[in-house]
Amino acid sequence: MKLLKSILVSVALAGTAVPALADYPERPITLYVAWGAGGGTDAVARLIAVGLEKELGQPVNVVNRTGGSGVVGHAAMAEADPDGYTLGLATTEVNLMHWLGLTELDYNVYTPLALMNTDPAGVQVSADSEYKTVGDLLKAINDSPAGTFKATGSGQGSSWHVAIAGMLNAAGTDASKVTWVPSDGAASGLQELLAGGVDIVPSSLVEARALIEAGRVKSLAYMSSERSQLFPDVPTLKEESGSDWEFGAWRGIVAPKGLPDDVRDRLVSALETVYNSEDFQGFMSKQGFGARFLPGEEFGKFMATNDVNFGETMKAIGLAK
Amino acid sequence: MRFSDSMLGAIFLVAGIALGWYSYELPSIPGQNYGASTFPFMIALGMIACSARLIYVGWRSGKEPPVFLSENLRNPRALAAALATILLIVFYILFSKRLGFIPTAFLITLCMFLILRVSLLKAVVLAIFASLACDFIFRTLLLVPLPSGIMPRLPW
Amino acid sequence: MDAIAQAFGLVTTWDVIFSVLLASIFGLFVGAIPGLTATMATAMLVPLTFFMEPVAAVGAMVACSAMAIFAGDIPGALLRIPGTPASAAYVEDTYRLTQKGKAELGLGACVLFSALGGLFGTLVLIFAAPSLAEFAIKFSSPEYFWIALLGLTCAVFMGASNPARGLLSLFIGLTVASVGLNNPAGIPRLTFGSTEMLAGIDFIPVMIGIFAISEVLRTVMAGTGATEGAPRAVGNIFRDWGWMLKNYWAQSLRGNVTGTAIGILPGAGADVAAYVSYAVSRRFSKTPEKYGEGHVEGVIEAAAANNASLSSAWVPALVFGIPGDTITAIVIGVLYVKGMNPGPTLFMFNPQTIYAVFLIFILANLIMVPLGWGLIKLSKNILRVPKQVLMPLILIFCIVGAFASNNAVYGVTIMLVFGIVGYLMEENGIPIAPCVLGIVIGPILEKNLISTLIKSQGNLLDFVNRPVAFGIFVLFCLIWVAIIWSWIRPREREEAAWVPEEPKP
Repeated sequence: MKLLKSILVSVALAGTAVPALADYPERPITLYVAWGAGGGTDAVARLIAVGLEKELGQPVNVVNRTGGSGVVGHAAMAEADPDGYTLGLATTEVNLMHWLGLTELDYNVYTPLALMNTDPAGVQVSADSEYKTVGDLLKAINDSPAGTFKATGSGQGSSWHVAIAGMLNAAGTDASKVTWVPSDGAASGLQELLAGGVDIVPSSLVEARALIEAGRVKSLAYMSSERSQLFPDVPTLKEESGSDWEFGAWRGIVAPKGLPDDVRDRLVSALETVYNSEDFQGFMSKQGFGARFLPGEEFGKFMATNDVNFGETMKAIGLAK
Repeated sequence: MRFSDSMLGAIFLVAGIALGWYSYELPSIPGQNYGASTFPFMIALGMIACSARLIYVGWRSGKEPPVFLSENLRNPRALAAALATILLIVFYILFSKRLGFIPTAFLITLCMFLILRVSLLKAVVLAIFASLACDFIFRTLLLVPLPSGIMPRLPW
Repeated sequence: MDAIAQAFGLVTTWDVIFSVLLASIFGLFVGAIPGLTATMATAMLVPLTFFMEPVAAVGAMVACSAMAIFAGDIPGALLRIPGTPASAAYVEDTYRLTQKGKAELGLGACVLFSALGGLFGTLVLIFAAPSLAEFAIKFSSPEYFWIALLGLTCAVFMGASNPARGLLSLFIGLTVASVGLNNPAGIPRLTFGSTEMLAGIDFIPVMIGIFAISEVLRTVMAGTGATEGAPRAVGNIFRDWGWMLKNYWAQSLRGNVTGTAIGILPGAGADVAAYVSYAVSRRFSKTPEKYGEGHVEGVIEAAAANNASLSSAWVPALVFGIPGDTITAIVIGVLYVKGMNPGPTLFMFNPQTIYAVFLIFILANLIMVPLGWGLIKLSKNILRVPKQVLMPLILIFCIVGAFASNNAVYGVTIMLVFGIVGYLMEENGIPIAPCVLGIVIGPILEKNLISTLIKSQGNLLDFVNRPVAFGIFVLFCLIWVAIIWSWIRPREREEAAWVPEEPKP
């Protein structure tokens, strides 16, 4: 299929003879992803790539540069030439890893192009858990000795760890009262929850979806200002406990710093078209991903605010270096 | 290059001690007694135990030269061929991005053919074919982002 | 029954059959290229599935992944470059068989028993998915810890002629596995300040280096004189099927069961299945000394296991949306997009679609035989190429494969380093397989060790106080008692120092 497609593309290219020189893009574009083939981020990236390809008329190749909890891929996005031929799908980790002292790199090394998606965290417990509301759970954590409750869902100091620690911190409970058990991701975390190894998995609702629908896991609260479209029955954290804490994982397209303005504008408008396309919206809502669009500068501001918030929380709970 | 049992044991003993030392210094997870150091430390212990065993076996079996150069390594031609192969891979690592895949692959395959005594004309033809075919299969069909470097974009 | 009839209707459309066929060919092609894994092949299909009907989309991915895992055996057998990690377990045997001029025996075994294994895993999936998934999700970190340790015990059987060297090889592999940031503490280890090394040492370039580059080095050192005696043809791959089935049906069945069991557990995949069943096969074989020297018995069991595990990895994926390996992780995403949300309801509300997917599993494993035969026919031409022409081509192929593993020259560097390491290991009689096993199982072991320690606050009793964990622990102890007993008894034989072999051509 690739073969057929490639032949068609090359025939089409040969047919158009010499393209006008100044027209961006005139050769294939690379889209870096810091996470492996098969994950949610990879799927979103491949979807955006298909859309961009249609918009820009050039192949967009998704390249997975994995490892190092995202450091390697995010560094690759920053180090490429700012010519518009290398883009990246940046994720929440941009605003986490420099606080952890893993890298110098932060959101300032990118030209922000578009925020494409945010997934707020939920507070998931096993369906047979004795806690019916997040208020009960928070009270029980506060009243129990440290280490009674265990949570998992991502690596040490990564997104969902910050989500639950921030929630506890906002509720005035010592964040270290809940033991964090590092895991590869939400899937293996949820499996631990079912196996009885941990009590709480603060992952996104999408990740817990199959198990919530199967009635094996329940979500007590949603760390966002509005209820989720996927599970409108799950109350927000604010409704349940009055806490202002919000936490969401996000994904957005960035380019290396110093991208020419005309190229940036072309990409931002192409990304907006992709975002509004039926394919993208359909995919996101069927998968249960939260679609949210912010163009260029606004995305930059979003990352800046997000970064400050994470920094404050991570310092408060002793995760930041 | 073949090491005697005791020599091999000694090498791994040093490696094991170094690993143990290194991992001992690694911080644990905040609030936990375990973390990054636990696992490598266990590996180091195992490595030390095995190397002790090898040293013991070597010591009991008596004299063996600590290093034994196999026939290949004493033959300068064979040694040169192996070194050349290694250097060619190093060449790819250092220059592929700047030169591009096709020229680098051409040079590497050409040199290899000549080392293995393929006639010059045949070597050139094969090297051109190999580099172009590889580029087509991997970059065009399988979307591996091979560097283009100084090469103009090919029609496919 | 009605649902099954409907399922037949869904599968027997040109759309579905055509896409399954094309995806199979694509999977075969990608799987046969070292460095490109079955996971990559499947991921590359994702954008195309957006334009397909649900059954065609899922069918394409199923067929593609099954073919890619099988096709990994082919370059392993012909060139000693395992195409996928799962093939690395038995590459020594298939390659030696080729060297002896019996390529058809090894490759024939791979095709036949891969297909049978895939079918077995599928049958288990069809008939027992919900109840097995219930069992598998009850596994927590202590259980996985013991399973990983059992897996590592395989290393002892792999290097059976010299336990100390086998274990050293294992420790090299475990050390390699601990490089990078991907450890439970999230602290960079052994990275020497390099950003690239934060990613750790990827398995694929290691495999290409340790098997293929070391072989290239040996060949160039031996000079071109060594081409004599190399086999020139692959015979009829079907010729040996009869007696293999007759003599090794038990091994095949055991491989199917081991592979299926390992595949069902989320967190262990086809590669682990292949290694474990190879070791099991060797342990119970009447002729363990032949393993690694070109013996088909272990190949049968391991090839059966890796394809069986591929099918059974769908058990937790379909029932609970928990991926059993990276391939099912990709397909779960596609299932959502196509409205076939994984979960128990999938089996209740629209069983015809899920039955259709099962039919495609069966179909894919059946067409594996003719397609695999075709690919073997094509690729056996490689053996006709003289070695001095072939080696440079292999070298450039390896470089690109290593590059493709993470799309950077870092992969090529790893490949080179491990090429030299592999060469030195073989010179010194250190078996390679345990090292590769260590790299595969190391991360699983560490993760579950640390998780359990953190959860129990250091109380070691927590490793054994769950029933299943205790069961595996007892099994583990029994196996080790047997091993140590076998070491102590024939003391005089084992004490003899390692005798250098004649250098290989």
